[in-house]
Amino acid sequence: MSKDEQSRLLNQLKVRRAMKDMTQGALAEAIGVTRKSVNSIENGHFVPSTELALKMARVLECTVEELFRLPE
Amino acid sequence: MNDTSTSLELSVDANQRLISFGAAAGSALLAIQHIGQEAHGPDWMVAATALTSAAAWIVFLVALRRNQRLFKRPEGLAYRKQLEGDEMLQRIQKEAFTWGFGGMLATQVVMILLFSFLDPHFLTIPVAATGTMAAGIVTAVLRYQTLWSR
Repeated sequence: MSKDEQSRLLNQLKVRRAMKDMTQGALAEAIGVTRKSVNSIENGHFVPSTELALKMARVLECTVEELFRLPE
Repeated sequence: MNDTSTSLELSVDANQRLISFGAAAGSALLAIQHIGQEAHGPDWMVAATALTSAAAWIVFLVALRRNQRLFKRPEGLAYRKQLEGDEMLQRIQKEAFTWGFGGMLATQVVMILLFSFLDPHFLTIPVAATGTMAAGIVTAVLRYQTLWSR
């Protein structure tokens, strides 16, 4: 595993969004960021702050641990 | 689920690119124009760089005005609020500023070395000032665009 891959945070955002039938835009609006940020987080390019992760978990009605996890 | 960019996002992004690259090209060409003048380069080259620099700054101003108009529309106002609260954008802006400042410092070091060891006659205050400014803007713009377009 490369250093870049190791530093990436794995996430279940796309799955959780689909379960709630939410678009990236709708999630972005609900947590007060741009759709591009949500897309970057989903693709692992951007690691959100604790506050943003908590906001996402609240909107998607799950825990932060269910949304994000460290690579094995 | 529709996860594609809206036309507003695409327009704002396109204008932002024109603003960034307009400023980068305008400042870089301004520095080249001053080097040409101080090095007594051909008149056509000085005139061409002056004209293209002015054109790049006009592009910068037009794109800036277009974005201001977009942000005055109701959907533009909502998008502006999202941008203002966007932590990724804030981090990118901070990193681009740091890189730009680093670029300016690196250019200063190169200029000091050039002046100390080579003593080039064209290295005057206008060249140093515009060169430093251009290095900062170009570095910041490239870093910003690289991070934002990922």
